[in-house]
Amino acid sequence: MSNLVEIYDLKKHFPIKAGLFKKTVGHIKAVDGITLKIPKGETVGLVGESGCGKTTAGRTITALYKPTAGEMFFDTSREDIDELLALKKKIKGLRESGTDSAQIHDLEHELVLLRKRMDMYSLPKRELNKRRRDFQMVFQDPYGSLNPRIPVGDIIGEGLDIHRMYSSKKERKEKIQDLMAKTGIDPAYINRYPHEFSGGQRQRIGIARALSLNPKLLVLDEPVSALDVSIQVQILDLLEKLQSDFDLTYLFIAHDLSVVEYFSQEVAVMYLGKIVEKASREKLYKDKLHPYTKALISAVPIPDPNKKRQRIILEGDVPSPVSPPKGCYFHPRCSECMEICKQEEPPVFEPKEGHTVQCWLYKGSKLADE
Amino acid sequence: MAQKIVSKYKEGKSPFVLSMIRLGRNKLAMAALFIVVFYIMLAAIGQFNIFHIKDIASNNDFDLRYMKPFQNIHHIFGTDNFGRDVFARAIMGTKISLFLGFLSGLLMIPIAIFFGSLSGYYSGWFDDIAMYIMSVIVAIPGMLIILSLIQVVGRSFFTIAFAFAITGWVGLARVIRGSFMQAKEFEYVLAAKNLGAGDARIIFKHILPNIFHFIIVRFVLNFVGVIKSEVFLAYIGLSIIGVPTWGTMLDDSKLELMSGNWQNLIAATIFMFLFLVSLNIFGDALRDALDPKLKNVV
Repeated sequence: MSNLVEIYDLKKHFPIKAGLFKKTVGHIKAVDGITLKIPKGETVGLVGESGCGKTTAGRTITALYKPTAGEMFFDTSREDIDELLALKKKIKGLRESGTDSAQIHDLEHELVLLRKRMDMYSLPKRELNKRRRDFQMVFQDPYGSLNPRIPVGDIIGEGLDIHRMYSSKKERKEKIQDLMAKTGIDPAYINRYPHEFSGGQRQRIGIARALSLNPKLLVLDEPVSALDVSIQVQILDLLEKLQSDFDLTYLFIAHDLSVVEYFSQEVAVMYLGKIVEKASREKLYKDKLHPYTKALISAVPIPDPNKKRQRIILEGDVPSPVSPPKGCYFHPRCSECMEICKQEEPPVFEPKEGHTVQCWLYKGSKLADE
Repeated sequence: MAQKIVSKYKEGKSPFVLSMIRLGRNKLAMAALFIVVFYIMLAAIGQFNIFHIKDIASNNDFDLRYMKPFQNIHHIFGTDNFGRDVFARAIMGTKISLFLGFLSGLLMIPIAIFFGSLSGYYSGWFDDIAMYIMSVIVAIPGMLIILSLIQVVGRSFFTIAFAFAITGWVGLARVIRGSFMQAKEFEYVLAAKNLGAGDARIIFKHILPNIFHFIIVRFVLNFVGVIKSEVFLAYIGLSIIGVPTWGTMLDDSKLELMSGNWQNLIAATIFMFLFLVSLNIFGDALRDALDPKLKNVV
């Protein structure tokens, strides 16, 4: 199956400015090089603790934040992506071998041109705003994500207004009411204001707004974490139904592993701005490789008081993304920490087909090609 | 999925309507508003020369100089040293005060919105420049700017309104800037951005309406500051020439008081006091009613 979205080495560093002249004194490395492929029509889950950069990753993927580095290919052909990546690799190789700068300069110019054609992040603002139709986002906080001064009909219809997707007022209204009906809000409430709805209804409004542009990718930024458990199931069922109705691809960001297990076909575990383990749901939950994933999954409560199991308790907090630890970012909290972990950052290994992990424990296995 | 055909829509109440209902429940604020409206009517009387008020206010009658209040049915508040009716002059003063407050607010708000919203939304170099301008203006005493402007450009009505606007916009611009810096990270702003909305749409449709209560309240309370400053200007002899204002009446009274005549002082003070008190009460109630953070506080 082809990939709808491919993201390579995405980085988002927020500068920390201080002093009289606002000198940059450091960076918060919220997202520090993630590579992710999202297959068409599937759901990829992105899990991690609070503060590990999940939300920033989601917002950078939807180009709400301008990334520090990295490429995103949206619905681009395999050959084009390979061409760009090969060129990038070539430049990197030449740089390391110390070839003359003129040649590198020419190649870099070529790379910029290629990026302008394919990479979402290199598009000019106007162009990007047009392409935004294809990837939409559902936000985490149903109370903060709707403008309180605008009736819900206009909130849902805003995308239609911006992209002029209707020819008459009547058509606009019909489209909005259709979206409301599809997401389970009574279309009679078209003129009501957000404060007159409950959290679950507001989240439905947020989903309707995202769907109004007929997107191909929907980034779901913890869409259910602010809701009651009973409402969570309703929203997840709705999302599942919409996925088949609208032929959607999901990137599902969550901290709740059980929700991700229920919802995603593929799961990526994030720690401090990096993806430490990535596999299909069955593989990941059956045999987890990274010590961090093991700890996370062992922390999921099981509704059976008689069932005993060994829990791995993580010590300490997530280190500061301003000055992450040397070597493997996880080593200060890792139960299986070795000497090499403190010195060198592990590359991405692929111990099993389609199961990648960034950990020195799997040193002998083959490297993942990314 | 079958679409429901709906004949009757369920209308909702917007946050603005709700806050107006909240304001309406506040009886003290409504009383204050009534007085403010009454003053606006007085100003209208002055403006449209109803009851020939302009002629009455400027009619000199040396036989009736220094008449005390409530002695003559035609001059209930008495007369001043030229024999002019004090009550009519106070009404004319109402007109000037209200217009000064209104015009300076009207001039001030666009400047404050322009600098505040752009520097808060874009930050970067525009923010730096705007902040330096604001710091410079704040560093100079406001009265000094007003005085020098009046000396240079002249003592006309518009100059004085403009001078008040120049010194008054900085505080509002800072509030707007701060709110924009917060608001641009709000999820509904990010959502609009995600839909492909341009900067103008985000600023005018999503952020400004949500901070407009700051601007309305500032506009109302701006009257208070302007009226007080006008009195000060008149006292040092720099207010508008040729028309009676509350300030010039107080200025006149400082000489008359020596001969025991307090008509001007009392009339201007009562007019001003009542207006400022009701305006302050109404302004505070308006702030409480419009502030979304206070909506659940009774």
